[in-house]
Amino acid sequence: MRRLDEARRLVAHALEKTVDEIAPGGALGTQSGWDSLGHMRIVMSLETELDRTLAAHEIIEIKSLADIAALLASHIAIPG
Amino acid sequence: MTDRWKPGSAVRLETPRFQLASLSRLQAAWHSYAWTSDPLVMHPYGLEAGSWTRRSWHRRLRRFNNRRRFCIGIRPKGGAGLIGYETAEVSSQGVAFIAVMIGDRDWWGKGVVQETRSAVIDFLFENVGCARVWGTPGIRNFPSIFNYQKLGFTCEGTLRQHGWDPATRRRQDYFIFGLLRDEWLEKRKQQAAI
Repeated sequence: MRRLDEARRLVAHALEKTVDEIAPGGALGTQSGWDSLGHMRIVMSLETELDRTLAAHEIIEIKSLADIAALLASHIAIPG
Repeated sequence: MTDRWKPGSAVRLETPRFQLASLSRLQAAWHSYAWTSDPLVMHPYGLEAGSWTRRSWHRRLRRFNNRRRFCIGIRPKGGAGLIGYETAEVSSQGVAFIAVMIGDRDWWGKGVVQETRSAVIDFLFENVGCARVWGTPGIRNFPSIFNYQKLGFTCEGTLRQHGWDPATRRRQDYFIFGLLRDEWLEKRKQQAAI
């Protein structure tokens, strides 16, 4: 659930919307503002959050908030 | 949907916001030359920006014959100029390779490709008789990937280090997106039912 909330925040920030405007089931093309440029902003925001460049198989899988949450869950924070 | 088109004759398509019409090589080169200085427009195609002359850009483009090679210009209704064009190259096996360039950045993020590519795909399947349509966006071309996915294309694989990225000065990978005629007709049927 936490990762899904993080995904909603990330997408909201990328699309310049409030978190409430991002439906929990938001997906590519159905979420308001998630158009071609919005998709670019989402992917680039995700790479910034993960601090790495996404691999081709990861890029192609980004179609919904759940996909973004799954990628965020795979990110393991290294204690400083 | 188009009036009955004959091979060799100009293509004319219409969508809610745009008029689409065939361009000759000279017309395409002339109208798009200004875009060749914009790296954001050119780099996704593996092309340098700013180094083209009118002659070299004209020579870079293919000859279009409206039989197997098409260049279809996109103009907003209401008299504005060319904002981009769709190209299609059809093999003898009925497979169309497509690409699009929207050179007028004021139209980016406004659903142009979704609308115009749908009309071009209809034309390729219904009038040209293609069995398959495919394209190859760079794996970092996120807007293009979005457009292929939203139109129902399937990612069939990756062409590794298939081209050159002028922005990074490195080789880059490309995705292969394909769409079959039956898949498109089913999608259109579902859209009509909504």
